[in-house]
Amino acid sequence: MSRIIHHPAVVSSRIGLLTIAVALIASGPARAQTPITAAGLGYRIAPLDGRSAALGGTGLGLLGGTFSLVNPADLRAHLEPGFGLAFSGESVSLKGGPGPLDSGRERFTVIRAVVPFDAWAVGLAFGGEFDQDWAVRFQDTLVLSDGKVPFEEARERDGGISSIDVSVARQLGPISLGVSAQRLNGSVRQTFSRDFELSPDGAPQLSPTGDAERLSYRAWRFKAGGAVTLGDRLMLSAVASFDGTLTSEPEDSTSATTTVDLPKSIQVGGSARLAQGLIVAASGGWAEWSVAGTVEDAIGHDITWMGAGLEYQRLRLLGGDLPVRVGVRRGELPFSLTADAIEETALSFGFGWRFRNGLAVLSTAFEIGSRGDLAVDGLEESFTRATISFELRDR
Amino acid sequence: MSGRAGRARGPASDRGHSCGQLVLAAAASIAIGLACTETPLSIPGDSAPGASVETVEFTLLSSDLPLWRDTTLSGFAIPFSASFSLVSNRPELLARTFAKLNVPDTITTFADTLPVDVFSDVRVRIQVDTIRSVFSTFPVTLRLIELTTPFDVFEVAWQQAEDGVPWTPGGDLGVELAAGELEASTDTASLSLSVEADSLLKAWQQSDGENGFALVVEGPETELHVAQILWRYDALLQGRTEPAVQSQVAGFRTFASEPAVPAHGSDLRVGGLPASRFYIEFSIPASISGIPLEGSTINHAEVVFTPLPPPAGPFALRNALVGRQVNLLADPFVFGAKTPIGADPLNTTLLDPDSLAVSSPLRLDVSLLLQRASADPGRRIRIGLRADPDAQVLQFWEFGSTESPPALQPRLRIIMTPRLDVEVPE
Repeated sequence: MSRIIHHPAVVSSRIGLLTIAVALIASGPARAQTPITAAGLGYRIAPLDGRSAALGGTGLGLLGGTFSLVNPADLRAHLEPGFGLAFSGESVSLKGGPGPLDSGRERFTVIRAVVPFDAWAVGLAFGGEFDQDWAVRFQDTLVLSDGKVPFEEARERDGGISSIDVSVARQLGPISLGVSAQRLNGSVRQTFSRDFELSPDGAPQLSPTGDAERLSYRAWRFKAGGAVTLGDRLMLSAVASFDGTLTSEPEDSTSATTTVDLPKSIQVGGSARLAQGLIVAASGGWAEWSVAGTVEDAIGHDITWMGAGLEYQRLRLLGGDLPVRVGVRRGELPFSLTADAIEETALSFGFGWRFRNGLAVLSTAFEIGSRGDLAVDGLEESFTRATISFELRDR
Repeated sequence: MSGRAGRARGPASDRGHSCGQLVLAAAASIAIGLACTETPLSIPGDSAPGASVETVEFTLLSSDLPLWRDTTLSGFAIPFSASFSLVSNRPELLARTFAKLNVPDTITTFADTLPVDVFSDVRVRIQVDTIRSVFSTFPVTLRLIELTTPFDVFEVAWQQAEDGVPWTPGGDLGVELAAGELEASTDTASLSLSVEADSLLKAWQQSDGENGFALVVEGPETELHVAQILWRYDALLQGRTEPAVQSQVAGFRTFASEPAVPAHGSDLRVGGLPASRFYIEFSIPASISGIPLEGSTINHAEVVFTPLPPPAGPFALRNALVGRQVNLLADPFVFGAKTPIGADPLNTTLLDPDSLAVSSPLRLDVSLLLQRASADPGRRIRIGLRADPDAQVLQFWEFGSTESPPALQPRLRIIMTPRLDVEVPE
């Protein structure tokens, strides 16, 4: 006699012509851990350079300019043509379940070229948007009509979404205005494999199974922003992003194309020189991710974020300036598996090395933070992140 | 490195603070941070995210398949070509072995070939397969008795010497030629000749063994599987003074039983004598419950046969039989018993009478064949089951066919995993 046991999450129950059913039963904990990158479109990647990351994620309105891909109006803060790129690596510890589990990911967060001329500036950039690199592995049992078959299943996603940005800014006295068009592109390869073990009670030996599917993403997004610079003492910046539609299309399959609404968002920030060699920066923002609705069982939430930092610029090393930075940030993640958004907090610090008054700049940032709450969200990750960026200017 | 750090302290003393050690520590931190970011998350649990698809099980009756044909074919071996013969005095199964000894006209020695002058010192040894035999007690008396009517090895039966020539049930017996006893401690009986050896063998020499002889068993109820009847005699060749020792197996050996093995009907039979096999042919549907088979992973597929109640009388299997699944290389409904087969040396199954008696189903693995067929719609799957080797025993077992009631019909069981983009209906 077959026993039908319904599994809460991965139920497999079929009725054949002879009423023989199959089900999966759980052998693990009742509620297991899920990587945050597995929720919705994945983990949101901030397209920030090392300086912005060290200053609590303040990516706009920074005196001296930034290669962060936030506000097109900030392009006018660059006085010379320049090129910058930032690479970020993150180590993650997932808490809960049978014990701590370690993982990590790395990515280029932003690559950007800026060319100011006359009262204009143009920028071409590549920036991160969402990361979906993750893999899970678990054990379960397939219940057949004549016995149980233990198996191990692996599911994996590899890929993410990034943007290609073209921005233009115009200086009008102390005010600069900018617009940008962004093409969001990406692909994710999702795979699963299931290896069956010998049945302890006589069910047949099953051959392993698995499949793969590739999803491609595409969307247009537009931004408009403004910035005000008062000498070298104060800079204020604001940017708005307009809503759009992200299209997800399976490749090599017959599944239907799906769409996800992209949110409107507003972000404001700025920096001020408190004293000679001391800058304070702060920013905050809001995004209407609830318009995305439910994406693969993850719920989109309206989110806010804010961050602040200090930069001390009076240190010197090997003939170059050695600015040191410290910051703090708090924000919410756009997707979660519960009704509430997941909160992320981090402390940041870092330093830079400006060679020949900014001809070449190396910046690093280190962040120590956490996201989620095991008791509330059913998941919790602590992380340490290192970001290193390099800039060159035609100076 | 230390030299560079030392030089860095000079200019720092008048323009700012020295930070060489901080730089080194930071660089090391970056290296460590970047180095530990390769391992993917490994998460146990029951609510794992990500794309997956259920593994599902279906069972289809043979009558529900687009094409299903099954048949039993017999005659792959008959008593004459079997590796054993039967002798029995059990009330439920009477059997006698009939054989002929065609004594050669001349005997070839190392030096030359000469006719026999005198036969002497004849002994008959009966080798018995005691594993497959049935005994009640020992000793068992075996007798060789001359037949008064010749028989045809292909047509002889309990009631007839050949087609159209009836004889006394069990054979027209004449004089006793030899007798002996089988003891419990051995599997060979030695029979002593009770007639004049030279005249007997010369008579058989001249008549090519006709009319032959019968081997019968007397005494306690016994069913003997006789493996061999071996004649040993001394032959004094013409012109020689020393006899040549000869051994000769009785040729043209067969047996007849009462009752005879019943002919098969529409049910599927394996074993028996004449040896029976069953062959099936079927094709699979393009989809099951909306799940296309093409592109799905066939994790396992088997044809399940339901054993019928044990055959009546003495024909139910007593010992386990090895069955071998064979792939049919042509249409069995065209070529019948001559259908060429391809053997899969790994696909054997044990036909255990104890399991069959309690209706434990017989399962033939067709996973590989179904995988091929799922990628080639319309391809027909043809397999068969035979005893390996054929004609080991008189007994057999039968299974339900597609003409049986649904509960006894063959079933195709498929355990498969659809493609990732297929939504399994609830």
